Amino acid sequence: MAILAEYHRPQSLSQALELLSDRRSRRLPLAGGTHLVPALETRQCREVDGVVDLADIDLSFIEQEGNCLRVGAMTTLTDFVQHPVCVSMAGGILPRTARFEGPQNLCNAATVGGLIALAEPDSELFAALLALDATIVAVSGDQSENVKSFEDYISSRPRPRRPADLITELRLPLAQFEGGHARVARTPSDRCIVAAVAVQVVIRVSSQMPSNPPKGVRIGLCGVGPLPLLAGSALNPPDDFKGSAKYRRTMSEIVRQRALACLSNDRL
Amino acid sequence: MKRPVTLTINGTFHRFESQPGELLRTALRRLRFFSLKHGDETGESGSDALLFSRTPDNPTSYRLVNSGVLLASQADGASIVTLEGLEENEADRFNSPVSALQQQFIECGAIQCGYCTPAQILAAQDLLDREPHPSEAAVRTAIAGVLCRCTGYVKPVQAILRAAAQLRGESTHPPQIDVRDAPTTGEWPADSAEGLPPSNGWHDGGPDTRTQTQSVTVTLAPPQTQVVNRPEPKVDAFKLAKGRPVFTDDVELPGMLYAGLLTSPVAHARILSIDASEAMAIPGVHAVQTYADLPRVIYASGGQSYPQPPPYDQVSLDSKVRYVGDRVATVAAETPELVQEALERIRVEYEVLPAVFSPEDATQPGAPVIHDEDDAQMIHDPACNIAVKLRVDHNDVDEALSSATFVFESEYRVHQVQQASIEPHVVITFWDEDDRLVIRTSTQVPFHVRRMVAPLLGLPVRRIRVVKPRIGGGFGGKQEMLIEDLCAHLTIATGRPVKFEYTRQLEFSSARTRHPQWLRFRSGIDADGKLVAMDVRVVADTGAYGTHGLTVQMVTGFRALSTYWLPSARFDCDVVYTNKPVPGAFRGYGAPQALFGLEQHMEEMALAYGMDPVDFKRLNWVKEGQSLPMAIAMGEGREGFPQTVQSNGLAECVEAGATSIDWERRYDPAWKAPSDRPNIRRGVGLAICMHGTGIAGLDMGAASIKLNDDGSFNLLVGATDLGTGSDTVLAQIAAEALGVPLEQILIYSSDTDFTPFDTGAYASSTTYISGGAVLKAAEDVSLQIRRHAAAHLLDGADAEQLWLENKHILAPDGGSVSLETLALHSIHQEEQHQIMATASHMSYVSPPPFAAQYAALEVDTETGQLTVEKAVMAVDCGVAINPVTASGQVEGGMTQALGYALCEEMPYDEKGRLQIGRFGDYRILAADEMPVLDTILVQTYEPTGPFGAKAVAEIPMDGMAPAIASAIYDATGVRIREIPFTPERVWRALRNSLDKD
Repeated sequence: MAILAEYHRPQSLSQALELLSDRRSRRLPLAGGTHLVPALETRQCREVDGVVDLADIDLSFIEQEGNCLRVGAMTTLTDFVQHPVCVSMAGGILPRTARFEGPQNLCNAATVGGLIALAEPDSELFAALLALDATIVAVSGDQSENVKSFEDYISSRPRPRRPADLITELRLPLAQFEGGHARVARTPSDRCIVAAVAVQVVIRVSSQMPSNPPKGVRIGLCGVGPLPLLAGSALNPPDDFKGSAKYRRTMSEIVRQRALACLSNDRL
Repeated sequence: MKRPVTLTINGTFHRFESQPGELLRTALRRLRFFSLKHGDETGESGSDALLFSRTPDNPTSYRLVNSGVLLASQADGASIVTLEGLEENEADRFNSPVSALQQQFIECGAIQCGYCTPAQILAAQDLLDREPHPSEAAVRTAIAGVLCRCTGYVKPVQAILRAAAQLRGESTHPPQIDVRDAPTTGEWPADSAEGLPPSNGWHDGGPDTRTQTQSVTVTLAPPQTQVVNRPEPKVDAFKLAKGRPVFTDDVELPGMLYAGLLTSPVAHARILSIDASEAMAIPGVHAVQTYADLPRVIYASGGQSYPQPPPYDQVSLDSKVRYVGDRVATVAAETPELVQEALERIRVEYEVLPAVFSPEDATQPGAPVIHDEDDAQMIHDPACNIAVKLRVDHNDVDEALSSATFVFESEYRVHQVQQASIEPHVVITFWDEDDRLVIRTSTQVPFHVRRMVAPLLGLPVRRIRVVKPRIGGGFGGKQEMLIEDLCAHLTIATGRPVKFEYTRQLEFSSARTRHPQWLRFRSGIDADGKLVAMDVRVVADTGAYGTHGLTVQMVTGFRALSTYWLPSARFDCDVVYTNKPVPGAFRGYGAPQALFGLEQHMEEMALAYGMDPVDFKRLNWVKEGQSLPMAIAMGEGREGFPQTVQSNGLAECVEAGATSIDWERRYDPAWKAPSDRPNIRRGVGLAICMHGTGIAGLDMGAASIKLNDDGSFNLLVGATDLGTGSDTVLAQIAAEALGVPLEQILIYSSDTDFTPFDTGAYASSTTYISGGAVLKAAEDVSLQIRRHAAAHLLDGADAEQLWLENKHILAPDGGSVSLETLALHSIHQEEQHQIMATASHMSYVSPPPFAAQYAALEVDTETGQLTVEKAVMAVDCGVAINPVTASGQVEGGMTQALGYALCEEMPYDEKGRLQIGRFGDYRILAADEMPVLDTILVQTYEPTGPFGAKAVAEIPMDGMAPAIASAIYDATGVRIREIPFTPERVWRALRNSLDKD
């Protein structure tokens, strides 16, 4: 049973940061709740006095700004991937991978900020954002804003972030991408055992075809480390009932190649 | 500290106080919105979904979210819609309006247990609000987040597509069920001789309660029926479609306390001390109970007939724990939060003992002894951790094998899975005004629970009333007296009503599962390919307690050695204790294990001998008129009774299924190895199955029927509807026999105070056994009606010559009187008496249903990932009393069987700790990832069953895993003898075969 002493719903970001940086009480930011509420309810997450619900802070937005799409951290996964720009980005890689974040009733509550904060090892949508070379905007207790690439973000984990660091925004580069995706799972909709998401910026030289062999391809891999990682980095696959480390390592190469092949086939 | 929450619920403004940690689901149920169901704590079940908006002025802003993963405070200021609010004129109880979705769910048979129905309907509503022309894929995506363990999603999807059409103004009709007759093998019964009332097809020899077994020799058309064999909507569908408060948990009793269970964190330990003082000191905690507080009464928890099959190796709370999840202490407190706090403050000191997690390790010399208590009874060999040893010999197997033309041996392994009903185990206990203990519980066996719990509580049976309301699925998991004792002890200790509901985590760790087994088959055939002997050795893992260990394994032996006819046979089985969560009854009950081995063994042997596997099976499978020699030796934990197969549509099933799956594709190289996808191989596989119908000589059901003033009838049955539709089927049988439409039968079931006895819902027995009782009671009532009519209302008529039809009593001369007139007359006017009858039924035969199960799949040879494209089941269940509910049983059972074969698994770490604790990790199939399911009912006429019926509930579980194994072999040439077929297991098997080459 969730045992909580406090529930806060601040009306501004500064209030939220103040609540979160107050060391007299152990508080966690609450976004959609699809992860934190179960963790509280099952007592996996115990050392908590209160939650700071970010619902009333204006962090649910999707705006195009120059060659960048700004996505507020409280935007639900559904709103995010169904946004017209996101639907078509990189051949639809975002809705395609979001399907495996969970069914609609979870994606209608889960948020972009929560997805980034959790960085679950089998999150294919996270891997897609990593491959898209997105950036993360976070605000720390002193209200200073820092912008990090997904790469820097994952390489700085699993070191704990400062408690008051709050993810406020995701920024997606707007360019012409191609996307490729491949996965291995127990069942068609199950979270993956391993998966790869490949993204390539389409470089068009006048009217010529995209360059071949592909250049500038980024591949996000799932299931081969404590969090999704970029192909090329050292693998540290888990060894569990869904797949042994050896299996995951072997499969990661197969899905990587398949995701790449999707790029050249123009078939997601 | 509580804070105010304002919330618009179904258009009405609400303001209430809520603790910061309170879930929205909990708060709404507190406000009596009971359509939101608790399926889990982590949001994967989705049975608590509702429509949610923070900007209700925009009607398109409502989104489907799960109320169990939202805090009530998060919803402050929001607007929500629950199923209760879907219908604008919901308050009109006089006319009982239904929405298009509700109507289609009812008519299409989309509701089985109904526990996930409210969320499914809301999910569908959400879709139809946005998309009036949804594709099937869109429908499946929309409901993918609402897990259903009963239906296989076929009928819910059909219902939603039809509701969409209905809302568009198109005409719809319910989906057709594929029902065929197999009259060439099963013979239809003789119709009535001239001058006699129309036959109901029942062959009963008089007043005793036994089924007579004379065969019927006249071949005629199927019996003409008005209610039976027709797709009547389920009698409980309306209230379930409405989300009415009908489940165990859907009541609020004044002063009710909540219960919780502290479980063992270690696999094997002695409890040195328990200090509950800190927990008891919390204000609002009313009781903490440990082994020191409860009487030590030895029992066996499996819900079975008296006397319980041994071993007797459990007590309510023990000073020793035998698996991670074993019971340590209970708490009763005023809120769930206080329960949790109290549980966390109980200090337990354990002396950790060595533990064993496999039968191999448990039976090694020097292995730790799991049951070293001196008061356990009838354990076969406690020192060696052998709970049960079974050895059955039929003729001389060794002699037969030594003279056989060809002998083949192979080994198989099956794993542990869980029933995983979406409604967890839940029970509410309270003292009534007569100081009798009422147990309102989600059980399959209310009468067994009452008998079994009484000695544990020190109460006589007469002071206990067990009530089973609607329940949210069971599948065998609730054929157990699992937690009723603990909850009742807390009510006895506190004097207060107590509710005890398992969390999903507790379901996995501390409920029941399917027995894992290792099986070895050794068989011999003669030169023609006919089996001469089969020797089956099984080592089964019964976890920490024996419960169903004896009887499940006996069924394994019986199924392994009866599906094909054997001149000689041997079953040799050890049922071994380990320090693991406890297996029990699970749909199929030993048969899926047996058939996974048997069907592959037969296929492998045929290939090794050079015969076509299907021809080989056809040559050997048991035929009509053949006896089942193992039946006598292998009853249910006792001596059985001779069985002869009297109806068998297996040949037709194999044929019908082959057409549906397109069996000939297995010879088409272009299909098997598609040129554009070089890593893909495709295959088709078959398994045949045979099951039983009730437990011969043991199962008994009873029914009472009473005539009301208006010519309607109350039907009271002990039988237990788990969502299967048994109430409907039993009411159909009564309606048919009494010549009335279904609506004239008011059924009430499973209440030990108000209904006669029934063994309960297990062993595929209800339609056959309880249905037999209903038919007898109805015939008795019919005779009483006809006698009264003949004596008073149809002058000069002979009661024997009258019959009931269309709510009237009819005479051969054209005379007629309505049932209502008859009822009023018999109750109020002349020779006044209550027309009423009670009848019991049991059977010394257990006629087997037969089936062919097919799978078509593709194997990704690089990754090992399987994708099942289509699964087919053609089943001979006798006459289907209700083709919709029967096909629903098949679809749901096949889906569970697919999970058994593909993805469901209970993995442990090296300390015996379960590695899964939530849906998702324990993967049950969702609506958007199902293969095409095709169900064909191949009807035979079973002369011993009511209106020709046999069982259908469990057989769908039996053959899917071996059919998939067969299809993998067809696709790749690789035989995998262990389930589940996870990607890595398949990949390893494919690689090993390459290495060998």
